Amino acid sequence: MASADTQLQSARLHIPHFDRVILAVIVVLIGLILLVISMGDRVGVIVHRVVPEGIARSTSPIIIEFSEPMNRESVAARFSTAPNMDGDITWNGSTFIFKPVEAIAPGENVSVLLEKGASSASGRELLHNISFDFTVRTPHVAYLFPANDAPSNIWVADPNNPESAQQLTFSPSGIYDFSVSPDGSMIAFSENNSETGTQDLKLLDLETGGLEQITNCVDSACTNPVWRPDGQMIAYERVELNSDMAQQGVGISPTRVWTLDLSRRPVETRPLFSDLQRLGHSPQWSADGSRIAVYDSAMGAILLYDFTDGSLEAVPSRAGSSGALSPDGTALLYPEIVLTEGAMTHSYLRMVILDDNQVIPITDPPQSTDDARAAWRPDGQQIAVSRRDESLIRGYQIYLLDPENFDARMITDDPRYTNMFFLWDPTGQSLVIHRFPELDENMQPNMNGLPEIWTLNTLTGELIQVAQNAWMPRWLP
Amino acid sequence: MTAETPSVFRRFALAALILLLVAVALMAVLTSNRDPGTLLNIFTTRFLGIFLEAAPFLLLGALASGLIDSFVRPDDIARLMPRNPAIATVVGAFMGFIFPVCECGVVPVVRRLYTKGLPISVGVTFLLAAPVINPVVLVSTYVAYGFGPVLIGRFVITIVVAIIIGLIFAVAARPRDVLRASTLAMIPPPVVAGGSPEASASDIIPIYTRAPRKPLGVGLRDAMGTAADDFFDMGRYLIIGSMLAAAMQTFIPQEAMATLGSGPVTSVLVMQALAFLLSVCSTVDAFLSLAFVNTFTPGSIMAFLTFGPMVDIKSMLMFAGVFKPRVVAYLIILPFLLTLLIGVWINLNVPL
Repeated sequence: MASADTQLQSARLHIPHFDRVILAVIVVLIGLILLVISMGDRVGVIVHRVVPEGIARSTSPIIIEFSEPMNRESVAARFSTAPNMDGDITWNGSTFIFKPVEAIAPGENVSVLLEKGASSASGRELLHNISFDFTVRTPHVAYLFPANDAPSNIWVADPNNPESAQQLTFSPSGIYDFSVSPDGSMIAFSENNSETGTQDLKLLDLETGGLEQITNCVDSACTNPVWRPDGQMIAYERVELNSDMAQQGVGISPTRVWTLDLSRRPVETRPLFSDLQRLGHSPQWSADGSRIAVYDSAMGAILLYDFTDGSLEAVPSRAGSSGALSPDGTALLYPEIVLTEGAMTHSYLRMVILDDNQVIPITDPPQSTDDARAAWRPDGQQIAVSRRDESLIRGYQIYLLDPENFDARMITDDPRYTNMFFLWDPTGQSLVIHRFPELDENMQPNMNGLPEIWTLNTLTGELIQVAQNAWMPRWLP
Repeated sequence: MTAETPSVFRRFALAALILLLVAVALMAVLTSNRDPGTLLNIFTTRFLGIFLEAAPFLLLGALASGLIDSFVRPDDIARLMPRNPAIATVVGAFMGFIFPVCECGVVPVVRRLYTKGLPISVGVTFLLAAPVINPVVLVSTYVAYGFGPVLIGRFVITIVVAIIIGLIFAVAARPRDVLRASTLAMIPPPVVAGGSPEASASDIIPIYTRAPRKPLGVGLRDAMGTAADDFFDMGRYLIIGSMLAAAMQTFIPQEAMATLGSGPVTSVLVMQALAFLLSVCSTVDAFLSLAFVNTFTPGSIMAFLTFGPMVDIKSMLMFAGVFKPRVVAYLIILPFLLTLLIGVWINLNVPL
């Protein structure tokens, strides 16, 4: 009996050869897995991509793409640049993005260092220092050419070498207007459709050459794209042509401002104001992107819309301009039409302090000046104004104003030219100017004048002609 | 266990997966602050994107499977097997180029080949390797990833894992240890599986009867019928897999996924679990895996692309119709541990 029990127990305990081999293999494999784990991480977090390297734009963000989600504090603590720069850090998944608060000066050499030890969300570490360098190039100038013929296309030139100008777009029907993204990597432009008379907005990626249509304005004119400073949204003007209702006497609609959300795919577009009775044109963003200013011709006022709380303020003005928001968003410069003695009208400059709606007249009667356009230097320390002072000089000249006391200093004094439009470069050193030669070399009215593009270094006073027979200049950082 | 049991299990598994999908979607919609309509639109777009990209390859695989079913006789393959068990096992890893079937189609083929005298080890190697080592998967992986480490790694790892497991079976397994009684009963008495302790080299080529070849017209008609059956049969799994994958992309926060996907060990385990649960055909899983490339580690992607085709829910149920239950467990555990080992080693030692 005992023997039978032993045999039964033995049979129960007996593991067949095949199963023993398999179990042994399983044990070995588990051992190997533990061994591999115990030998530790010899790769660590991998950096897939760093940007920029070599030549960079003055507004280029510094981008480090990791192989996995990171412990953000540990990365920020080990990130540094030489020279030291202040900037905002954002993340897109596993990608670290550092945007300098101020544009980097052209010619500056920047070294970026990310020290080893930065850890991922899962605890893996960066095992080696990551370092790279870049040099900031001189901002280029983009413009439309030719001004006296069609089609106009976008060209770009280096102000230090204007002969190197290159054509960027090759639209047979022509480009209506355009603007450059804040980081300089893309251009949004409105292209004419010669068959329908409409305009659509398109995006040109300057890195890849890729072209994407971002509006579907079948019976509309979609123009004047204006980038939000973070590059994620575009405000633009839209006019409905109402072609299908022309027989009923319905004409084209007034201009309204719409927005395009580029952070969504497909790109989403919607009117800025849900109330379609609210008109607007000439949109411009505040530096932090939280506010937008448009001019409402029906109200005769500049509308300031705050995205953070949905509030809307109106600043009465008859000049038709949406003015210029200060970089810190606390003040708005705008021209106002004023009737003076002798039934003369002049355009005077006003500044409204948005916190308390206090209006400060910068120029006023009896001054015989016209202030047409104002632009804040990116650091807010100066204001460029195109001013015509008939007591001094013919045509609009550019002045620099001190925002504290509004002392003005004329920085263009060529009576042959009127300076119509200008923009600060991102570093606040230079202006790009759209000039028109009103007088010829003999100081006689110039009947065959064509617009020109110039740059003006406000520190040295150096003026460089970038292009002739061209218009609508924009900085390409 | 009856012959119908796997089918019941399979239906239960399908129902469970669909319920899981609905539950996940409902929970996500209820807890998300986004508009349910928008979420549904995103889910639909992603589902269609995955499904439409994958469906042509499933169709291609089904057509190839139908043609082989009609025109290639299993005994042709058995006759051509090398006599050396080790070489035969290695050859088994490449038989997918003759039988380009995914994991859904490989089990019946192996079972039929066993009845024609195919050595156990060769059958096991073929069973595990064929879903990847075939021209259709080669093309689909190339289309998804191009020529590079993923394509090469997928094929090399699959071959290595399949051959290792095949050799283990060659050394230790006898048909009666491995096969279910019903499968054993189909094997003619003179046949002895090669590689087992009882087999000699001359036993590897079995005695078999040569089946007559089908006339072209009949063969083509049968091939189309088989292809249609295969396409609709496997298409169900593809639809459910695509829905699960789309649901995961839409409803599960990518941050949570990314956190799981970044650990060198946990990411491999998660992707192995996903591959097992999603049960997507190997002809299309490369496209699905693309969705995880930016959030999961390279080793885990490799584990997904190698472990999933070898073992998943539907193939596990089909294994149970051929092999003994504990052998089914071995056929899950061994590929799991080997791909885990390779995946973790890649993550910790290979900068990709």
